[in-house]
Amino acid sequence: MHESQETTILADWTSAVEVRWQDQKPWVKPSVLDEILGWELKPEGLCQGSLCIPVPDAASLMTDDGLDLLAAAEKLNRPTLVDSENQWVVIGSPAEERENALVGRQVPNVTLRDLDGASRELTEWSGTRRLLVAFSSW
Amino acid sequence: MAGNNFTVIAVALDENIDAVIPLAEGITYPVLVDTEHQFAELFAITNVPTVLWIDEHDQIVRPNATEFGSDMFIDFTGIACAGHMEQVTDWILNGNLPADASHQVSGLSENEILAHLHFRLAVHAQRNQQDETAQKYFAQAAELAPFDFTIVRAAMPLTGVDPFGPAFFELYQRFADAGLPTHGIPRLKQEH
Repeated sequence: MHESQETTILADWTSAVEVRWQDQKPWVKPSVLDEILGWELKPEGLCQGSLCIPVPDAASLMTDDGLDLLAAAEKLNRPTLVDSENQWVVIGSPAEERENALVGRQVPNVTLRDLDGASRELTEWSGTRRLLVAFSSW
Repeated sequence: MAGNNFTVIAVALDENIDAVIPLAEGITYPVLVDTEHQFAELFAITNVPTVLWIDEHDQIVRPNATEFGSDMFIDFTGIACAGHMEQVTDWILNGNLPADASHQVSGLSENEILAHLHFRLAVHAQRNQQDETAQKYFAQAAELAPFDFTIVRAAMPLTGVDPFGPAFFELYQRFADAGLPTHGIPRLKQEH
């Protein structure tokens, strides 16, 4: 077993969890996957609520050091980037979600901030036609 | 067109809400901020301004296009929004979509997706006062997505470079030389 270190995970939201770093790869307690990604490892696979993705080689995700976070993200088709020196992990959006937006043309579930810093979602305006204007200060 | 079940929503591709507040002064429609750079990643938005039309069922009925959805930027660009606004009016009042609305937006490449991850790490490093690490990740992001303005130009003010100065014009020249690559309706080809 390796020493665990507090690690910042940037995914759909930011979380700080205990991670065991082994060969510059992050391993977590299976129970924190929900906190990081909103998915849980169950006997039937990786699950989000009642939706489950079967993981035939689920055992390969687990060792004595815990759950292989990068492998779990890969099962969910999410790209990852790791800075083991600073203990940071970034987990990008699932490929399906990008596909749903660009090909399925469904507004993706993305959390934005309003000017007061509160979390907002574009689906709050469901039922209304919207002109989304992406702009910037730069 | 208020009262026609229609609203503009502005989404700032900025990491820092404070940088957006002065721009939003006097604006009556919602202004949101993509602080985690996920909006740009999911919609494959590579520059601003980019406009998308969303219907009442949360469907994107006209995807990414360079348009001026308001006159917020007209002093800077000199490009009037009138043509686009006529199309928007026709959509709201008559349900008509322009021919280019069916354009299939190409997905981000693997490198461009990786660029977004590097950009997020860079911003995180900067928020933690690790400027050297931030510079490294900003540079790697720019190498991975050299024509994505939400990466390369957005990094300019975060790395002490003027985003309206020579670096921007050099970027634009490289982008033009590469054939104006975009993920969206190729509007710039008509403008130049």
